[in-house]
Amino acid sequence: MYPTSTTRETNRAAAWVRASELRSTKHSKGTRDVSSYEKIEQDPNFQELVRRRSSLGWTLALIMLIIYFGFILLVAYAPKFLGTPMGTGVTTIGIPIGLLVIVSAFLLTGIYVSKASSQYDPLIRKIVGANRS
Amino acid sequence: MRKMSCLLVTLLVCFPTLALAAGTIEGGSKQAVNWAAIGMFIGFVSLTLVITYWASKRTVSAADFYSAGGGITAGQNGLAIAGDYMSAASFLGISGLVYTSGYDGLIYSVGWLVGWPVVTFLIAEQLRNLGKFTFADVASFRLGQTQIRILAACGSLVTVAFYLIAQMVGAGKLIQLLFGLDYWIAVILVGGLMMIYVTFGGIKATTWVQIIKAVLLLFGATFMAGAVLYTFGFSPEALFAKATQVHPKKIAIMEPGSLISNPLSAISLGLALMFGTAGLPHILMRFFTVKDAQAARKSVFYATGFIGYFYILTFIIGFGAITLVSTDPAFLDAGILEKTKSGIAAIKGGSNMAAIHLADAVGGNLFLGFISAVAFATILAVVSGLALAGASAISHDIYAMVVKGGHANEQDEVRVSKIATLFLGVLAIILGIIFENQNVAFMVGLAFAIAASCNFPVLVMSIFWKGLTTRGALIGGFLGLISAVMGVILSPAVWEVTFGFAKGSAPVRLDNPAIFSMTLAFAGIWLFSILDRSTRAMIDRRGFDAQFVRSQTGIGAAGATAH
Repeated sequence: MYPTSTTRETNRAAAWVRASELRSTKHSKGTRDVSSYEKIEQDPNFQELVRRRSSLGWTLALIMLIIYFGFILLVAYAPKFLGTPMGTGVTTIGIPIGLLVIVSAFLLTGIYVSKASSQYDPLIRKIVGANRS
Repeated sequence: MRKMSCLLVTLLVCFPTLALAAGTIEGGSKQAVNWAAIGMFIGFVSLTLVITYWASKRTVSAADFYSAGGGITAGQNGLAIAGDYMSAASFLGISGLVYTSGYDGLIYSVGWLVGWPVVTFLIAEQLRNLGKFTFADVASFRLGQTQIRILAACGSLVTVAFYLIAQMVGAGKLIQLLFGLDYWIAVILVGGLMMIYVTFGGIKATTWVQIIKAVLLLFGATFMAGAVLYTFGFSPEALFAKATQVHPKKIAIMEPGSLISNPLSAISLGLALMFGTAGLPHILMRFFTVKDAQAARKSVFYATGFIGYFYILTFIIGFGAITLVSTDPAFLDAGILEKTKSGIAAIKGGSNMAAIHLADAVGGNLFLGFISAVAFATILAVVSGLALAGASAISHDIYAMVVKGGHANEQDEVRVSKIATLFLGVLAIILGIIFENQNVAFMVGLAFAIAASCNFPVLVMSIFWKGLTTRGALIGGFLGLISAVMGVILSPAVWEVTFGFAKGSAPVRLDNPAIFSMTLAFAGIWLFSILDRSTRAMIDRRGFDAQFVRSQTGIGAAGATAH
């Protein structure tokens, strides 16, 4: 995989990884086996967690980006559209649109948190339970 | 703790004296000494000093000092994050912007808010699972400790420094106006209180100061917006109708104006606001104060709710000020009114005072005092968070991890961060006084641009991209840092306005460099990582899987310490 490296370097590198893992766990309460991450990676629960989390996270992030940059592009290219009055009054269509962007930020975060609590947390509990040493 | 009570007494004794002294030399743009405001401010400071004393008793270990031992709840942390965001700049600045330009104020609020959902979706949980005290813990998790810690500390300190100067100058000016204190006294007062909160109480005191202030500010803003809507029979249409009648720009305040001139600038500013949020060290450190990833995620949800609600209130407050402040001669400068015939331009103390005058208009002198005290409290709370983030970068990243190679004695580490806080406090006071008459608005933009172009790319790539190497992160991170700084210096706002070169001579036409400095940072990180064939690069890539498992599950993450 890394044709330029020699076996000796590989061994040194592996030793460093082990040492750094030991160092990073030294301060924490967890008393896990340092090499258990390979086992966890194979755990179907873990694979499902990763799949769910990344598809939900990136989808919602993309929706937020589209909403926000859609709004910014309206501001930049179609300010007159945002200035269209609603009905007979002075309130323009831009006011509810701006407020909707704010409300959507809150709602999207809410969707994420509720999905995460109902889907990720049980999976994480299962993974942690199965790998407690 | 005797030193602490000593300081407390000195401060309380000195305060009215200082205020009196200032009252006798009052003049120019300063206002008469406002006793209601000073009384409430003393009340707030006393309360926070009691909390600091309480927190100092419970701050023993380094974990207590930097992360409150992970003992802050999601709701409390949500308020603290919202508090960091509801700074004096966003409360007075956005309501002032709505006051002068109407709809444009909303564009800024939206940009500041939408960074939060993205932080929640992509990095909040991973940050909590990987980090301990600073975001450098996360970025350097599997990379070369020394190099990445130095890069992250540079990014943190530069961001904190610019943000801190902007806040100090804003604080001095504001307090001068609100309380009738001299500028230098105001700056020393803010710097001094900040040093007390942080050195004695660590993050626990800093967080509680922020929470109390956030609650007071939300209460005050709700009351003001409610009073404005009450005046108009709870009909926004009636409020807008009256505002468009009295505002010199008439109906144009109901649509986007000249604030955002070209699309590229708009997108670049949007990027800086959105991703800068995810790279501000004083915000990122809040993720380490909660129990676990679940609490981290919930706290951002609460924060988004509070901030969104607050920004809707500032919009109403700005329009309320147009109808109630710009039409009342008591709040206007007669000379300017004579010249411009515009109540908007003639507001006493400038447009940033719109919310303060509105407090007087709807709630009388007592409520004016309350809002003034809250505005001061806001500055104190925000600068304390900034100072702590800067001090952690010095003590945890530079001293403990780089100088001592991760083997620092905990007590020494905490002592170094206290010394660093004092150093940052004195520096902030000196720079605050030096920059008194400079235009510092660009500094906040610069802080966001650097956070978005250096801290954020390194952080997000280290969490998500297996191919990232130490060399790639280092070169890409510094490319982002340097190009963001250069981009701001060469922009029209600094080149033409601050340096005074001819109009149109600025080499860069964008007010905010984020669009190209972020691209440069990500491209640099990618290119120099894939070209990296060193032994170190191999270690970096091999470390990813273990990091990934921990970032997803929290197994092995720094736990909460019970008291």
